[in-house]
Amino acid sequence: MAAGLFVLVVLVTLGITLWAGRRSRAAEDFYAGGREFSPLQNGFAISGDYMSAASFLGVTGLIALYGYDGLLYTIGFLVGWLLVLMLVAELVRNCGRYTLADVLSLRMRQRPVRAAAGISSIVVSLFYLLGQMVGAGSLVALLLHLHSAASRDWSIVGIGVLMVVYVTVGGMKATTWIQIVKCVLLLGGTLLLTVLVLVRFHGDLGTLMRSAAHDSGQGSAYLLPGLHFGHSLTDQLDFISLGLALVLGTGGLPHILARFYTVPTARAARRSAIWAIGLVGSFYLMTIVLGLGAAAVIGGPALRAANAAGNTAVPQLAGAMGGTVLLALTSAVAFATILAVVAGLTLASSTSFAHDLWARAFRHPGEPQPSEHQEVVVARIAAVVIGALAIVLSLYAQKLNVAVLVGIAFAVAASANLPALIFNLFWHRFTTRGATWAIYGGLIPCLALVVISPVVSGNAAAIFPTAHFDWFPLQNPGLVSVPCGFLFGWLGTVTSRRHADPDAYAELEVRALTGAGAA
Amino acid sequence: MSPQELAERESAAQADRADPAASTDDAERVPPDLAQEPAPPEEPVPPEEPPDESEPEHRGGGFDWWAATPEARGKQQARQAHDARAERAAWAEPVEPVEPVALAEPAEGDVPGRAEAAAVYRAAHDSAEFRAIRTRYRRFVFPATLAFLLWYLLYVVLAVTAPQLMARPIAGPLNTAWLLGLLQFVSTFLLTWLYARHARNHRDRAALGLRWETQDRLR
Repeated sequence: MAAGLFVLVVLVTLGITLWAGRRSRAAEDFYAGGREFSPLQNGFAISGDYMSAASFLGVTGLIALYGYDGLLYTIGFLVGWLLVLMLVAELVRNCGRYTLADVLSLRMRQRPVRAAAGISSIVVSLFYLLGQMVGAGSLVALLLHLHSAASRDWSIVGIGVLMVVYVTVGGMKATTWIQIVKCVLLLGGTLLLTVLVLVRFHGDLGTLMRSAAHDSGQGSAYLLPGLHFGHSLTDQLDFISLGLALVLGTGGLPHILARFYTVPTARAARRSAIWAIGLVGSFYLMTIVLGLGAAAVIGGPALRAANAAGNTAVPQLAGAMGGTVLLALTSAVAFATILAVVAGLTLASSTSFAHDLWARAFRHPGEPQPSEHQEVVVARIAAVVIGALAIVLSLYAQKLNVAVLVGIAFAVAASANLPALIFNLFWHRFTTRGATWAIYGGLIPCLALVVISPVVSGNAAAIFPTAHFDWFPLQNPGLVSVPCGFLFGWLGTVTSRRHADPDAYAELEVRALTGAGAA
Repeated sequence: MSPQELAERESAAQADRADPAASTDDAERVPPDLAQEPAPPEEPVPPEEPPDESEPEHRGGGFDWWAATPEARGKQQARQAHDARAERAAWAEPVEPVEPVALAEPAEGDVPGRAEAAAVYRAAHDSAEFRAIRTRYRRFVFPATLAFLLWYLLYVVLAVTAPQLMARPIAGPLNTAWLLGLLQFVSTFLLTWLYARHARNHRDRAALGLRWETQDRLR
């Protein structure tokens, strides 16, 4: 039954893709879905893009296994949205056309900032994509009860091929509709499960918490911080680092920024962000209930036996509450979630490549810019290449923890993209050199720290378990690399030989706050 | 940005579709039972449409730019351009309060040069209207951002440094740690609602007025 529903999900999403693909002609359709989505639709699409399988299965599993420490993830994922709402959504919608680099190049020299922002956007998307696909491979295999390593590999390849088809054929319009459908499915499934859990406990949350703590096998420690993240100083710093990355990273995620270009006005962008906060917040509140419910109904030992990371907590809970039917439905929802999120990420990175790097940054000054049609062709090719790259990398990164990979993607976004974006919007002295230094100054330390972190070497769970170059103790580099991004942005600006152009900043401010001349 | 690009954006902006009024039907996604927790009292339901029609539009003469269909917008714009031209011809002086550059007769395909566009933006930037919009925006978002970031960081740091405090029971199985966590949800929803209300009441109308004014001059 689960397999049948999976096929149904694939058929429906392919149908949407073909339908949308036949209606997409111009670059604006491919990159921004024609900018004709309503705030409600875009709010659902943003939530769809944001609520990944890592949240649905991973975070719920963490809550089920570790109680309070899982809650910390949900809060970081949600609170970051305030930054998007207040500082980013409207201003970015007003200033840019398709990407983050558009916003920067409004007042900077185009080629260097586009190169920097394009590269960092692709790196963020790749890390995020890697996390999603690594998770997806094992999840699909798990949900379909395929246990060999080969079936996991084929799941990754299959998902990769599907996401490339969605993006190349359907562009932003198809991707957005897939997100909307997925978001409705996900929220519907989560709501149903939540209601079932609450009914089982007669709506008494106190009883739910008590029995979750009792049946998790952890007792009162379950309701306190420290079960998952540990108590040593390194653990604590790592936790703060992750917290910082989560709250600041959301505003720098290229696939989330791209979503604000699919609505016609800044006011619509604000309203879609408000919808997203409402939906994402409700979703995470429900995952808390689901996590506690899984601990109380299934029990910690049984959850751990099925999957040490707790990734199967939701399917197990669904099976216990509603038998095979609900289990199959939940699995199909998780599958749709995976497909939708990877499609959004592939689209964002191919847009960055074609629009920022190929069409603008990699041109000689006198060279004519390619037509929008050529740009879209390149974007479609880029989607194929990036998809292939992501598939290959995911096959080699399967050992890595999904939550860690997503945390790193957020850290890169928070250290490379966010400082440049914030300085650009709010600091009148910010210069081209400041912008490139902010991006590279956040990106390079962040990547370097990941390479010398315990994620890559030095322990059994690392990519190179036998080598030892794990000189940096934290898994998440955010605590160091985010300040680096801001610091280098400031340093680059104060050491610039050229001063910032006051006219360009005046134009940016007027456009950002009023929407004059917005695309 | 090339003048052509500017012109393109201009026409794209005019073809903008207004937001269809959002239905609030499926706004309630919070499980009802969570209401017993100190759960968000207010789901940030996107605000209802402000009663645009009843209030005087900055320069639209009661025309609801947000809710109008693209066709209606186009017509309204054409009408206004026509009115403005007629007025200018009749009085031989500009109707706008600030006079930034010589206002050429807006003709098809007439694109101002880069320097003229910069002058228009500069003038809009220096206008009292714009300064008011920017002040209102910054006075809200800067303190609010600082407050929520500090509150979040406080929470994160407390979670790792103050185990005794976090373990203090509040009511039944609810301890300080859970209470603070749920309060983060509440504060996020609350701040979202406050920001939406502030933007709607103090910025939107003025910003929209200035937008059309600036775009008219760029023409």
